[in-house]
Amino acid sequence: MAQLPQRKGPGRGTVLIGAGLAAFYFILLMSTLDIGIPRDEGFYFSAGEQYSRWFDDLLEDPAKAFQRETVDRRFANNPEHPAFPKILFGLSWRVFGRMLDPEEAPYSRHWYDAGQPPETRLGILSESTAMRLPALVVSSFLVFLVFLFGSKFFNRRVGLAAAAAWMFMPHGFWHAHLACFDMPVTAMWFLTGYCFLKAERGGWKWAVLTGVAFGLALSTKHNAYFIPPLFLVYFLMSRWRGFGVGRNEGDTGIRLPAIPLAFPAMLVVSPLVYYALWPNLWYEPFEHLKWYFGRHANHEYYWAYYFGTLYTRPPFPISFPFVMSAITIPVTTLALSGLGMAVVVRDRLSGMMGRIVERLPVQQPGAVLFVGLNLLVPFLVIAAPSVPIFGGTKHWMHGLPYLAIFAGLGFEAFYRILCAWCEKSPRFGHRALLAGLASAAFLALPAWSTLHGHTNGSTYFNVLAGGFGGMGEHGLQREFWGNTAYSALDYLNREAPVGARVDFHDTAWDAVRMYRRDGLIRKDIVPVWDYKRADFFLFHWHKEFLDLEAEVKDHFGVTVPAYVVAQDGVPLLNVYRRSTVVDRRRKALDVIRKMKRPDKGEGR
Amino acid sequence: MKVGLNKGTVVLLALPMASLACFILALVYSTRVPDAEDWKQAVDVVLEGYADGDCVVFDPPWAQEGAPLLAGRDVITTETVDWYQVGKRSRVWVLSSLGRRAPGLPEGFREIRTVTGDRVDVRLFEAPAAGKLRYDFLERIGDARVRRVYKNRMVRCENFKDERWFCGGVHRWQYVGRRIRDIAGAVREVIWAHPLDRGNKLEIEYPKVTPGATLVIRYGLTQRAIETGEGAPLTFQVHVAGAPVLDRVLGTTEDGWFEQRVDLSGHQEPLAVRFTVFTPNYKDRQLCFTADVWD
Repeated sequence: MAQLPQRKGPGRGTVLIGAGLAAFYFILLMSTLDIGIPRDEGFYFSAGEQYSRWFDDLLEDPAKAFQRETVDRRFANNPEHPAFPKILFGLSWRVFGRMLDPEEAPYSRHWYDAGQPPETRLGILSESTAMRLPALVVSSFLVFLVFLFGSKFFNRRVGLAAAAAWMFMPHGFWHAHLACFDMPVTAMWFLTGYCFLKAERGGWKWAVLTGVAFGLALSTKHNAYFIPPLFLVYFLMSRWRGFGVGRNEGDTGIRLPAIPLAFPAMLVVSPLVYYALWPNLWYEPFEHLKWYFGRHANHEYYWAYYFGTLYTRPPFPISFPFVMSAITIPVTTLALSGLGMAVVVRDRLSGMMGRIVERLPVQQPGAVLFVGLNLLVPFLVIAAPSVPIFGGTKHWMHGLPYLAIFAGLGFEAFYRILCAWCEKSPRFGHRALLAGLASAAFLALPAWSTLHGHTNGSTYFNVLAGGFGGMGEHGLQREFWGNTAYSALDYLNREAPVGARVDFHDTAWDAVRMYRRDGLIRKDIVPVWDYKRADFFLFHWHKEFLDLEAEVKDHFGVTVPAYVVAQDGVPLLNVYRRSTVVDRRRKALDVIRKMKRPDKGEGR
Repeated sequence: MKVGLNKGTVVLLALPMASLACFILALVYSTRVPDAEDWKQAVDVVLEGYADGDCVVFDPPWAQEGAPLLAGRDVITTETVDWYQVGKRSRVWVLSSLGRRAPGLPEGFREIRTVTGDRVDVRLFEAPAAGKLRYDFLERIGDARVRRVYKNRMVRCENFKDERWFCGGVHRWQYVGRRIRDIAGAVREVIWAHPLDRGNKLEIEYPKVTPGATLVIRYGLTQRAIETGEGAPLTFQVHVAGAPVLDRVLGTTEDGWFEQRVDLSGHQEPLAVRFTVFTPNYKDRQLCFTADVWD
């Protein structure tokens, strides 16, 4: 298991710049928390809350906490995904969350698991933000990693441009806020890749870290199961010259290249991490894994609206992840990534590109191939016609930091051309100034696209699709999923009569419960998921629900919504108000008053 | 490094300019979105001239943020506009936004008024066939005679409730009557005619249809039926005065809102029009249709 010569770790400056970028991103995330709770996040809130109770058991009676009955009870919720992220969400909530006081707000008891909020500790964040905090931190850490990766395996300019490209991807930015698994697994996937590539020259330390990182990735989401085959393909493609049949002292034998140290580490360390962080595996691990794989291998198909066709079952369009990425990533980022890929390919094919660009600053053999494979594999998995496509873009998001690396390489190529051009044509000014202006031009669109309409960031479409309007114009998925109710809460708080019943449609109870706990919705508003009993209906615009919308309008006796949540003119959610909404509490009080009032009838 | 100002270099150096151009385009997309005041101004124009028999549509059809201001009016808020149905109204108000300046109305609609706003334009059109509708089968669903025809018996469906004919008690989906369904890309109000199982026939007869020049039949399977693709191919037949005018088999995933025009010019007296639906396997075979007689 011979290794390539060891290289030094990242310099202090690189680490500081990376940390600065991560801090900047974290501040951006914390400044844009006005993002609703999608369905899955609501479920993970509830799971995190329940898992956190296990730590109470641990403090009270450690022996009992590890008993099967306790583990099964505390980790029963959402067993189809590893527990690790939800454990972090729950612990963060317990430490930082500002809980309601059951004495002051006795009505809030049933909004909590076990009918009782836990004691407030630091109480410096709202409950939902406290739940989201680990994901916000991990997402910021990923920015650090992207910069580090770019700097380490190419140069700082590549790292900086890649980090900027990654930070300002509107869909990624939106997902970076959520207490879900998609951004954490993107970070863990990238961390594993970074460690693996480092381990090629870094000895056992990085190999073990690769094992740990892969264990964390597995403990975050099942996408991580695609990492080992990807690494294997990389190994075979980058070392194929090392395979052969050779003769040594008269014996014929098979010649193999050096096996990366990370492989045995992933075989030994990762399962231990996986096992330790997923309590559902503590007893009957193989039974649970069997169920887990079966669950995901036979996952139900979700609706996906794609260019006017509602896909509900396979075969799904192979083009889906490629086209959706092409129309949901800012065109500047796409252009730079395309340039990066083109330069890499031409640079490899011959010296043709050498006339324009010097060889790219690749610091480690195979780095470009590794980046390319990590970009491609997540796309290919979703492109398989039998894999559910769900409708969103998050399921191949773990490939996109690598797209950002290509954008970094594209920027590097551009910069080199610019420098050479400035040398040749000094009258056009100072190259630093030109480079700065060009960087600003590159950054303007992605940054604006990310921050404009960040509340509905998962509905972003780029100028190739016609901007946000593209979702309406081309028959594409609009809302993803259930989070848009957040933008209608102010309307409900303002307009709904006391005791109004609201059918939240695609918003899960767990999300509504959190809105209530965070004080975002009036406590007298009663959530129901039955429009026939409701005074208001929050229609989340999905193609598959249009029949339902028509039925609600008919039932409510209205032709138009009372309120529309739109992004750049495209309705995402229509609030329907029954034509005869009554103030239930006032009506009840009137009845009581009437009953108490002395009879002042005739003759008295 | 050897660098010349060849085509490739020029293209690369133009990248920041292209990025800026895209940025400006994105800003343009965003700034042309109407705000509350724009919608109010446009809707005020509509409300001022709105009359019974009018309807309002948006252009593009999905840009409906101003819809709440039109409460109580006949407003088309479907994802795509079914212009055939709109044509049954006398006049159409079109609210154009997001850079639309020429709504793509079908031939025959005549523009009679235009008010240009900052971000929303209002146009009023006269429908081409206003007043020429002689008989609307959907509106006259109460005239229908519905029966189930089995091999050796026939059952009349005489329970008429909420504009729906039931055979016996109220059933969630086995009836003939009004319903709103998503069919072939648009939500439409239709006559729901879910077939019976095992090839038994569902017949819907209108015994005294007002004669006219043309009978227009439109039919198709619902979005849900297409999605599931279950059941078996379905046959839809239409007879006018006992003569067959349509005999169509719809495949299990055959998507579309099909139209058949029948010349009625030879008929002077009220006509009997019969619709027949049958399939060997009725699972999710949600057939819907409309029919109209026009002068």
